[in-house]
Amino acid sequence: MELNSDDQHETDRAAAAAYARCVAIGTAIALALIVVELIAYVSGTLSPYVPLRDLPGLWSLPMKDYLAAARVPAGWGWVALASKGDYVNFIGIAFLASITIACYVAALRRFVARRDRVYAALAAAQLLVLLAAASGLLNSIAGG
Amino acid sequence: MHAADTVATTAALAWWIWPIALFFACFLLGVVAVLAGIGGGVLFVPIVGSFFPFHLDFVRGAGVLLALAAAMAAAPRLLRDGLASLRLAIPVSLAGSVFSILGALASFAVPTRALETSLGILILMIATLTLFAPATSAVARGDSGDDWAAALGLHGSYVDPANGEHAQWQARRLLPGLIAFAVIGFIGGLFGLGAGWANVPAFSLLMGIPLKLAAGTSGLVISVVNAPAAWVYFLEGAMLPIIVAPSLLGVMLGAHIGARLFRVMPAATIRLFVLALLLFAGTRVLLKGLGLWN
Repeated sequence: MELNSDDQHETDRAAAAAYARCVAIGTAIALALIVVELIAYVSGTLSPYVPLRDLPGLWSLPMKDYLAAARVPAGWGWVALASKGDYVNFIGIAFLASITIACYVAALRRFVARRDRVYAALAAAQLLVLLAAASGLLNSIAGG
Repeated sequence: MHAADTVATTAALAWWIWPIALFFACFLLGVVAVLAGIGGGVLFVPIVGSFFPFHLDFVRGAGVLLALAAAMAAAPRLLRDGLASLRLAIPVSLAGSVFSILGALASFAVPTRALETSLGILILMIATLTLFAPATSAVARGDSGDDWAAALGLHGSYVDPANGEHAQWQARRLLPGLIAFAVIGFIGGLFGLGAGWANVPAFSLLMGIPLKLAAGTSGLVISVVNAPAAWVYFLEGAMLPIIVAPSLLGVMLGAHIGARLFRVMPAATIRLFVLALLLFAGTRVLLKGLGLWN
């Protein structure tokens, strides 16, 4: 179904407003989380899994060598270490990377409510792409 | 100095020197990126990859996230002011994000030297593009839209804040546009760059979108396209908090200050400075990739 110009304008306005609100709130929370977590990490309030003094010998290694040398998990394995000073920072990073998912859900609801089927389908497809990436499934497939 | 000596020297320094240096470097990058009108990500990866001791894998991971965060910080204002179109961003972002995932996944199979060499060439090309880019007042040629663009309703209007005038827009060449955004997404995912340098010409010159709307919507597209690539880097293990957090905070703070300085700083001087920075960093990372300057 093709929307007329006024309907489309209203749909766009509602979806953009919902998306903008979601991004603004999400980004503010993510940045606050990252600041607090960084302070907890470098101040030693939470002890890190990989000692800070060891980092200069590790951060110049290729990623795969670093993971092996520091014995740290890839994928969602970090969740088990989230109480450590370094891995607690991953909560803020994961939150930041998830904001787009939440914002697309908000926009999708507006497209569905206004029966803009084409854009509802496109937003749903984008959500599938984002969720596939966030699941770690694609990393697993690519890594064999 | 050999690479092994460099590693030994940097490892001997106290760990905290590097995150502090990174914060201040990223603060400056944030300021000049806003003043020059280019994304911070495109400066971050070659400069931090060249002059800091971190492996390129971790720099690219931080670069993807940094471009994502910077684009997200600007998106709400652009959407509310009507200077970014969600309707226009959605189809091209879908094409871009699928290929940004492929680029990110492919990047871990490419040897570091090859990645550095191609990154150096890309940055030098971007510097050339920046040098010959049209002035911000340039207007894209907007002939009638195509059937695909019309079917998606890719048209609308916005108010230009510079003169308060109502401007109409209508997208054209949607299919070539989708292909362009797929290629840009792949390159962005591969190198961990934001892609404002390529999104704006793709919107403006290829799809006939007015430059202001193209620039605003480009930021929105980066905030979508970089999200799945960020997940790939994150879950692969290519993000180190000690690199990501100071970089993010430095760039965000720098961008905030840069936005305040925007009216008083001479744009042409800043543009030349950034151009020199891109040329230097591009040459450095190219020579590093070729094994001529480690």
